[in-house]
Amino acid sequence: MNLNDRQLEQLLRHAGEAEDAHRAWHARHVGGVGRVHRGAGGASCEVVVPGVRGAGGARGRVFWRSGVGVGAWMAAAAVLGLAVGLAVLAARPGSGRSSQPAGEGGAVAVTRSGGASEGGPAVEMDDPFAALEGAVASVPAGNVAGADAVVLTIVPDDRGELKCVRWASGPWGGTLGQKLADVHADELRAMGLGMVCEHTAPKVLVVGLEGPAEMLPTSDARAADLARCILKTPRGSLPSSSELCTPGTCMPTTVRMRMEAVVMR
Amino acid sequence: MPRAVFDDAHARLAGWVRARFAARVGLKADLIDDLSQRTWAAIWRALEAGTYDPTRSAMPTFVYAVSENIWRQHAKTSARASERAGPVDDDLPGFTGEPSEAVQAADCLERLRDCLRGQAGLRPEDVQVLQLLSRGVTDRALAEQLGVAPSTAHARKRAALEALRRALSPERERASGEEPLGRGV
Repeated sequence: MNLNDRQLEQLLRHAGEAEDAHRAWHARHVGGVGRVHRGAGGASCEVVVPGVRGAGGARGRVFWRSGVGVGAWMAAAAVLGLAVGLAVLAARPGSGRSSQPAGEGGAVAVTRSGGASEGGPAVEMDDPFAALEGAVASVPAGNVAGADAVVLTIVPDDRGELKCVRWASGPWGGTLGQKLADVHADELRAMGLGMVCEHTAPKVLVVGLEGPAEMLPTSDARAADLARCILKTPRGSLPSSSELCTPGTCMPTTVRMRMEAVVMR
Repeated sequence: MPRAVFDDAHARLAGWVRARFAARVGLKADLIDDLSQRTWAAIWRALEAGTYDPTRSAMPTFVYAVSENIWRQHAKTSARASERAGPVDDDLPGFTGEPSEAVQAADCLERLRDCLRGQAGLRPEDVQVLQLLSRGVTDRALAEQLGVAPSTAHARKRAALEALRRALSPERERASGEEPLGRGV
């Protein structure tokens, strides 16, 4: 093998991407939120996970403004809680990189699948590891406006705040007309792992959204807001289980949401 | 035995393979299905024919290599896919778009993984640079991560790549006289 520097760098990137496969191989599912079905009133939140029912929780910050009514701050949602709490997100051995604050106004990496940022406020990359350019290709921008489905892969930092989020939009199942409810949990988790924005993240949250296109994130800023909302939703009053649902934040009632949490061994 | 190996790999990585393609083509289930099925068919053929050697590359690495070649094969026949994928680095060993050559690609990647894990006799400072490069950092980011001036980072990068080149050389492999290590995952 007589490889030049460019080839070696390309191979190194492939090796880095291959690590994603190893991570998926060793990934341990720690409980999805299940399928969350919103009632018309926006107050119900059913979690279809055995042994986890009626999980309640305090309301978090409402950020989502309806695209239809200016005054209609949408206060309903289903939000993920994590059983073990985000305290377990302590840095893994060997992960020596520091993470910058990524809370409100903080630097946070947001990338659409393919690394194409668009719309919203300027997005600051806090970590050169975050973007996996080349690992995934972009979803055509033309799909965004009419998209009825979005997947977000959220990586919290060791304080439980948003480190980076990656998102993709498009119809579930394309021409097959698949619905969010029909997407297998394994597939949703794997889809998220395939988009993960941080190679060494010990925990990843994968969020699937389905609903009217105008209600779904169409910009990096909205994706980041939604990710922050999910991470900030209080979990103290929730059961000590990773599967839960907290009504009252983050998304309009017309949007259906599923979340899955994956912890890397 | 191939059946059990295949079933285990499929159970663990089918979702990841789909996700990888989904991230590239969007949420188009029909195309994702097609690419995924082609990937697993190629993996099955390799297992059945015995061309995949688990002592030379771990299964996740092999699955990655096959899926990458399937993607390249698709990109070659689809202008749109090529546009999205960007320039295809098709002069890499094993990454030809031919699924049957994924064994070579996986073997190459496995040797790189050894280097990235510091198991190939490279200096720690070289390993550090290579790990950063494996994550696709820019030269500027490399300098920032290393905490050195860009010119110094460039020099370290060149040195690390040269060390990697030596580590990957066939002469080095023959000189080591070691049997390939098992590739447990």
